[in-house]
Amino acid sequence: MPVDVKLSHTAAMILQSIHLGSIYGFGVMERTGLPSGTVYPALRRLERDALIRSEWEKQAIADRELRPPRKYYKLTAAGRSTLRAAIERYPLLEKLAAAAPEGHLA
Amino acid sequence: MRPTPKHERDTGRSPSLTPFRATLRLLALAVPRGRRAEWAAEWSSELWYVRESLRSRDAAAPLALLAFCRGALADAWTLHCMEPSAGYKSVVAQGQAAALEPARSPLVCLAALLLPLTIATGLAIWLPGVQHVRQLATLRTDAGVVRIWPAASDDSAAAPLALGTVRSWQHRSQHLFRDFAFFAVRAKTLHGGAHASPELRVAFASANLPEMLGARIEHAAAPAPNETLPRLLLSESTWRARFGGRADIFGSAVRVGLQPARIAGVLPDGANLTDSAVDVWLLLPPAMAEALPDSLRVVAFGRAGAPTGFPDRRWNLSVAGPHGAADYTCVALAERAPEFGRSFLFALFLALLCVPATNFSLAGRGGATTLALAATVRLRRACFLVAKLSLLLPATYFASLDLAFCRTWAAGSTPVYLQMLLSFAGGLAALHWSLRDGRARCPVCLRTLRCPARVGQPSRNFLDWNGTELLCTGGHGLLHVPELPTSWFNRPCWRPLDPSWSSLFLRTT
Repeated sequence: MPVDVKLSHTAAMILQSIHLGSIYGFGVMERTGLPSGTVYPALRRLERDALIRSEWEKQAIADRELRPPRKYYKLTAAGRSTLRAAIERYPLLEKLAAAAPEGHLA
Repeated sequence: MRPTPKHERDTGRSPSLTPFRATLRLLALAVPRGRRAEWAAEWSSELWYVRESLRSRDAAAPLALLAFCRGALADAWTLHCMEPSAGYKSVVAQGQAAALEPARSPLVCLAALLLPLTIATGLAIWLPGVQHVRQLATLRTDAGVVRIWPAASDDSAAAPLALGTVRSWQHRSQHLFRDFAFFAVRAKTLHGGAHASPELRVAFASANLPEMLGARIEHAAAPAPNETLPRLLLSESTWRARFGGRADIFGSAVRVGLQPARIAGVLPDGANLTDSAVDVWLLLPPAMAEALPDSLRVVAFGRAGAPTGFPDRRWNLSVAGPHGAADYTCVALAERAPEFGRSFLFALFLALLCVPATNFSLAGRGGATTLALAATVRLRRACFLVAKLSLLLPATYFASLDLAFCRTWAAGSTPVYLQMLLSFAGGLAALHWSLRDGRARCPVCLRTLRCPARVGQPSRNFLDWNGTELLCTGGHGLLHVPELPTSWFNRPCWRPLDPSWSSLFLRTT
């Protein structure tokens, strides 16, 4: 994926949110305030464009905490580069960290 | 078998996740098969976390979960759209897909068109308002009931016939008429409830008049055993104006002038087939009708003795009497009833005139060039068009009746105009769709053309050609659709493929 890819503001916000530690879908929703109908399709597109990758949490960990396993999202190298370019374009993205909900930071 | 993890068990905590999980499973069907399991697992997991986050807001939780599931729909659709498009697949694979996909077959198209026809017809049978107008339409073709008046009089509504004359016909041995009905209009005061109404136009009528005129009575109150009072039918406008449209008045006793009567129902304004303006109808029992004087001037109706009715709509009746023969004019009531079929045909005619003004083709107007098609192929194509229209147009007719007369009954002429408008719009849409659908199909096998491909370049519009090419997956040919109509290539052009191409296609026909 080329680094100079142009992200929409929403996609950039989701990418920044993942970068800040909201590493599963619901956490991104909580941090950004975006609805599920926006966040999840955007995650699919970001994953398709290889800006993020996903992996499932180990079942044993989830079982120990009596909750379902989470699907974690992480930025790829291309995703980090794209995010840097997006922050130059949308400087307010860096303030997203202030709105981080408690308990959802990695 | 894997035991259900504790977090997946429904512990009775509100709200239950079961219906939302079922919704997600349903939505998962839209996700491409290879990614479905993972998608469902992720959404199911996320759903649990959403519910946990809403524990302190139980009242709003179901709505939030519902909104979350709505997001799943968008997500599933995104994944569906992200699958490699059909354009990347080979033509052979698409041909196989077409063979397995019966939805593009002409027979399936016709079967699908049966559905709106069935729904529209079913509603027409079920809706009371449509039942009523269908009764009127039936009466239109029934020439068995005629209005009778002296041939010397031009004004049929002036009630110029003496009741004694009608009685003499009733008691006379003849086979022309089975029975007679009549009414005479007088101004009377209606006394009922706390206040007396001002003078109303009261029709003193024979008891068989509504049945003979085919009028449908709304809110009909069943007569009590040994009832002796005449039945009183209110016109719809009188019922609404004088009684405020109340339903509790039916069966109650009132006085029309000095005559006691019992309110027996409402006659919809649209159902009044007579020309006379009447507020209430007093249906006299036979004994009371006999007491009316012979000199009373009435409007008379006769019903044919023969079940086939009368051959003509208007004819003259000559009756021999002691003072010579008297001539009467008889006119079938059919001429007075609304003619919904004719208004539909008129609206359809207008729609047909408007079709050329609509851009229904795949590109521009006019039919595709089909010089190479055999006569049998053209005939089959025309038959398919006729079959589609013969299903769509009746559906349009019944749907227009359903929509215009969906109320219990409809008064005035507004529904009639609405029905005409809907007939025009529906007819135009049906014609438009039928022609456009025909153009998007292979003229040989009548299957929908597929695999649209852009051919040429916009810069070659005038020197070469530029447009879209559609393919019959049965291998019958290609449809070239120009991007911009030019003087030498202004209509879609069908290019049949010779048998040497057949090895590329799966034989479907």
